[in-house]
Amino acid sequence: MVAATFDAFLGEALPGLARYAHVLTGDRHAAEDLLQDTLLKAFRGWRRVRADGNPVAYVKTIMVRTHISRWRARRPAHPIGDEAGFPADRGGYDRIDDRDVLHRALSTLSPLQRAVLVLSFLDEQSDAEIAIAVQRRPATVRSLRARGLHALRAVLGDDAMADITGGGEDGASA
Amino acid sequence: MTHDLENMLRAEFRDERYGLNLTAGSLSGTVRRRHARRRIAGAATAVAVVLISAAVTIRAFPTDRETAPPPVASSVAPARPVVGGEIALGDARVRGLPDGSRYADDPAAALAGVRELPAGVPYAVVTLPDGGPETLVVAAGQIAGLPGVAVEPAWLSRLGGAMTLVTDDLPADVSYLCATTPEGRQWFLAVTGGSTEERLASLERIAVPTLSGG
Repeated sequence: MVAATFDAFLGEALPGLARYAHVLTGDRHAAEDLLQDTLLKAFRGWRRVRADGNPVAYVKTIMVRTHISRWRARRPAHPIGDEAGFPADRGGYDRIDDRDVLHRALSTLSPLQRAVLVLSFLDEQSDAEIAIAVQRRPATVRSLRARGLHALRAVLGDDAMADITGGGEDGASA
Repeated sequence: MTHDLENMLRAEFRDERYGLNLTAGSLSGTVRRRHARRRIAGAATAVAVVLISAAVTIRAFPTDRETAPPPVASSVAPARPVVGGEIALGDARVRGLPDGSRYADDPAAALAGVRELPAGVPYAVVTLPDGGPETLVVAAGQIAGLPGVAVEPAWLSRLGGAMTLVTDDLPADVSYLCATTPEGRQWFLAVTGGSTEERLASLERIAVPTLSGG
């Protein structure tokens, strides 16, 4: 049953959409901005959103594309991974909560890489579905996911991975 | 290791820490206010574009017909229908326009969302039929850099070997295409309005026959 009005839709879908925006951005303020921009577009095209039959999925796609688009428009001059305060020394991870390690490692990814990981491991979408959402080819999606996972492993380091996962003492390699 | 990391990501993305403390009522009000402001700003911009366009036209209008600028199809006859789905731009032909396409009777207003056009080359502004994108701009030239995010639709491989860049400027609801064919001909296409999928479908419909020469 599709909500008849935008307000009814928002009342039902807001918690999930807000959470999705936060997962995509990793930052509360950025998530609020993204959510507003996304809902503004959904409001403007509400007839089309409603006619799609799955407004939540439709609005999530708007959100993913808006997030990637905003990042392209405001891409920082410094390379991703240079965020202030991020520990350059991997040895520092043993003093940080395990979840925080991954949370911060995720912040080093580009929004496009992160979006592909979210669509892959939260939404469990196929490469073809992700390709449509991020407007790339399936092969590009596979490459983005592989590079994202590789970057996470590089930031986390083998030792940290083994610690977090309770992994082998033999130091399994990536 | 790979599956460990993937499972860690599944757990991370489902973590309770994610979520925003917002109410639907306040957010709906914010969205409606922003929508109203945007409509007012859009109307003001359209008026400004028309005024600037009129001023430029008056200043640039040639007194000697021999020195007239390249033909601008859109200005020849207001609301004239596109015949046979084709437009001539100099010696180049644009193909694949849908039935019901018409030259825009107010090109300046139709161009409001298009940030930049190639300079000094023939171009046309076409109003597309109802039910999808609103406007097509096509020019026999290029601009340096396209607004928006690069996209890779599958039909890029059906453009006769043309070097092509397609972007989608989602905030402005405009999709762009720039291409150079193996023969060296340059193309610029912009489609406004509708959804991204609809804009890309319109670009495909026009770019494939136009760039491949089919």
